[in-house]
Amino acid sequence: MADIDTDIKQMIITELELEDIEVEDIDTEAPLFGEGLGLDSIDALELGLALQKRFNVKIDANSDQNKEHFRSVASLREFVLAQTAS
Amino acid sequence: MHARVIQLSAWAPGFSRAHDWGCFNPNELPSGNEKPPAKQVPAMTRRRLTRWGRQALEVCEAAGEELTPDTPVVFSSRHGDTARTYKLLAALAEGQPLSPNGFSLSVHNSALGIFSILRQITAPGIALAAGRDTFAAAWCEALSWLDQGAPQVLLVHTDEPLQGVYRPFADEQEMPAAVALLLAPEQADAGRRVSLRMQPVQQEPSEHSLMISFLHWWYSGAESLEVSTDQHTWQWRRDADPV
Repeated sequence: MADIDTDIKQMIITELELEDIEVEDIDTEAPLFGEGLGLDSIDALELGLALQKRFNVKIDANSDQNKEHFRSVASLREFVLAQTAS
Repeated sequence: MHARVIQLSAWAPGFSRAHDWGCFNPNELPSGNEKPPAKQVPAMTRRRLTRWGRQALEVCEAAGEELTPDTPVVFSSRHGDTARTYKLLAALAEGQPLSPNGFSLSVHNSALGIFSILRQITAPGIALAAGRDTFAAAWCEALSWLDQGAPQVLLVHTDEPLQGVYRPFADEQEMPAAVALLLAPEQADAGRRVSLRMQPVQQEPSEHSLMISFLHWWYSGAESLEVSTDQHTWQWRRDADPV
């Protein structure tokens, strides 16, 4: 599970071109948007695309649950695991 | 027509201060991957910019406190952010989804938009391109704003040399660089009095881009610059103040 967390963090750093941020700087449980890392709505789209490419998961654009899935690295991990298990 | 140059700031790899530009030689153009710091731009915004946009914001910031929210901005670039648009086109050609961030910044006025949001500029802004004449066309646009009563205009020009698949289409020598000028009407009580004249093309086009010729002239201190593109002959002149 720690491996998936690291993968997701590395993906966030690379895809969103976060300057001066290392994997260790991202708190697994901290919010990604607004507070915490401070990502915005374009980052959410970019991240959605990256998740599809990297983990081959499908993201329903109209799902109300997206906000919960994208809350933190931990919630993204749970989302990826649930999608790949089914 | 005359205007006054209140402030001029230019950046290219290895050239960030006026002292550096004093040694600028158009026969040894700067190259390399160095990026300007653009410290005034918040890190979360800066990360989204290619060097093309980053160098534009770097030189704009030099206008500092002088830059009021009612200052119109004329932004020009001959080629635009070609590194970014090429990536998007390549993704399209391969049937890949487009990067939302890349797409959102793929318009000609992207750097101008980011700058005017950061500095809360409420005056109009325009982004233009006019082939080899681009920099001079932007200058003319700025003059027309001053003529219409703007107290000052910020003129920003940025370009990257054509790379990769676009390289064979290059018809002049270019360098990665940006320049920003704060221009005021002739009647202003500060700044250097400078005129620009446009004439039908009278000589062979220069091998260099207008930005290169202009910066070389500006920092050389010479009185006038006459330079031709494929369309026009342009003459910039520093004039003495009227007695």
